[in-house]
Amino acid sequence: MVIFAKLLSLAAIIYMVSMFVYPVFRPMSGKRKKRSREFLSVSRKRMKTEKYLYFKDIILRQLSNKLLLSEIKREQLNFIISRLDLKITPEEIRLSQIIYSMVALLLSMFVIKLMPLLGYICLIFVVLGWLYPIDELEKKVEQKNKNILKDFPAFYSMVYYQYARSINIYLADVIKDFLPNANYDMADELGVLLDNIEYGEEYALKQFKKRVPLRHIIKFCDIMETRLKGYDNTSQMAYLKNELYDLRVVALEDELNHRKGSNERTQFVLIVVLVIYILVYYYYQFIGAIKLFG
Amino acid sequence: MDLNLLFSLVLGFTVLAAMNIIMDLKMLSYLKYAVIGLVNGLADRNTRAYVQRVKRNKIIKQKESMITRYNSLVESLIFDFNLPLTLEGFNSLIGILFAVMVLLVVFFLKNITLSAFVSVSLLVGFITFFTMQSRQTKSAKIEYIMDAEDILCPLAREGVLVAVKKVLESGEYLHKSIRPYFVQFVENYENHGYSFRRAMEVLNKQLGPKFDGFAKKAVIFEYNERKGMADVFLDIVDENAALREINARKDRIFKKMNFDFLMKTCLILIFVMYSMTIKEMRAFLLDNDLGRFLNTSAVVAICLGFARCQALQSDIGKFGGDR
Repeated sequence: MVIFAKLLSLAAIIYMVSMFVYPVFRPMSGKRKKRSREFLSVSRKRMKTEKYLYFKDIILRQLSNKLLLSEIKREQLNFIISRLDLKITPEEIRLSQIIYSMVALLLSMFVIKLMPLLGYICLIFVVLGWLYPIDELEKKVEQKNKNILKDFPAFYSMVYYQYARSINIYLADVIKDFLPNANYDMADELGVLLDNIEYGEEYALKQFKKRVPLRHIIKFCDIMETRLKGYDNTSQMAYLKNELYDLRVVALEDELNHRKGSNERTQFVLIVVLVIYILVYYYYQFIGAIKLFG
Repeated sequence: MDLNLLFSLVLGFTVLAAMNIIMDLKMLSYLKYAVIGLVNGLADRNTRAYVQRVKRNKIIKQKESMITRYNSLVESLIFDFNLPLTLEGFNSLIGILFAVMVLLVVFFLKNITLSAFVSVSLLVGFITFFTMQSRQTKSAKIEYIMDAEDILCPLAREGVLVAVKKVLESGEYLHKSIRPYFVQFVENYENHGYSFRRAMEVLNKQLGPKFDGFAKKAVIFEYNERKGMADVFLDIVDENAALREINARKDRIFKKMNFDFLMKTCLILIFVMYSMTIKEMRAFLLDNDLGRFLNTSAVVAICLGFARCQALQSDIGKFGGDR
């Protein structure tokens, strides 16, 4: 209580000082001060990042041949990076892998000194540190693919209904009509497709197939390419449409099952609470029995 | 209560009242003004914050986070129950309720930290209960919107407005709860000088997110129609068919989820009530710190479990991932 009163009186004194004494010799208005502080901090941060990038560039340039990076691996990483539209190089990913593993190794060395068994278990983190950066990127790609697949049935049925009416339709028009309805990842991918269409529809479709190698999208690209050659394959298109309808239902079912599972996990907490109550109950029964006999 | 304490309290009050009357201090009216001033200040602050928020939302698109999710939840609650409140008003109401609840719960638990936990989870439980109520009306509304879309989409070939008018001609097609919105849409476009886009936006706002796809497609269709484009609306019929297919299964599963939750909660309550009949156990649960902690965690687990269980039952089938 005394401490509380002291704190309160301290707050009161600070308030009084800030009210009466401080305005007399305040050189700058609060807003201006805040703004200039913000400006200073932003410029300092920018300087720091520039310096960091400069040094990183030098290091990476010197190390780029010594980073255990084969040409194939570099190509793979480049594919992922371009897919996610990141502003990093494969060398940076490799460097982060090495740094994570080194940190994990040092940590486990330290722990081995203290407690050998735990230290040897810690050595798992060396492997995990090596896998983590690439794994994270791959997860992102997977999530992106999932999002694209979620939107794909709607996109495809738009294409289908328009092409079923007439063959002379420019794919870019359809894509532009769909863009307002698309989610972020789908819009990204379709934007790239739109850019590529300027070099020809067939080229764009081939690139799309290569970029997003999912079963339904490959099929879609094949069908569209056949159409471009002048064949009227409406029946094939209708078949793919039915398949995509199933995909839609399956996606909904998956979500339902996911929710069901998560609900069961949540309700397990209630069972734990009940078990604790029962344990306490039996504990008191036990004590009562001992008292009765003792 | 001590008799001395009671006596001195009564004495103090009498003296205060006597002084108030004799010296004409007008304490009651001052008290009234103080309360009114407090309420007015709060209202002013809320209005200012509301204006600021609306302004900011127009400029910055906010990222998805816990706070924005809470805001949208509360706003939909206010909209569904027609509460005469803004988001800020609701927040301050919740704050006052929280304070009152902590005061009440302290009587039972005799520990401020634990009672704060209990009140937070009870509040979460209350809000969840109300969202549960609003969800039931909302799912019926979505059903009506789906019916309306199924009728409108094949008719949209000659333009969305023509289709709406055709549907409005006969009384049976649109349910009476959403019919006024469509009537208003036609009125807005034809008589009040709205552009098609604006009228559609208003309709979309009234009907909610389920109508988003139709509204976007209608606007595109209206402003740059091409040959064969009218059939793009048929996709919405397909989507609705998938949704209907899943809805039947969904209801059954969600009912079972609710039933399970109710069963477990009842079991816990009955067991606690039964164990209160044993003397030592009652003493442990009500007077011991550990027992109080156990009770608190039980209440928290039940309320948060309820909230999670209801959150899992929110509308399924938001096509197109996270927007």
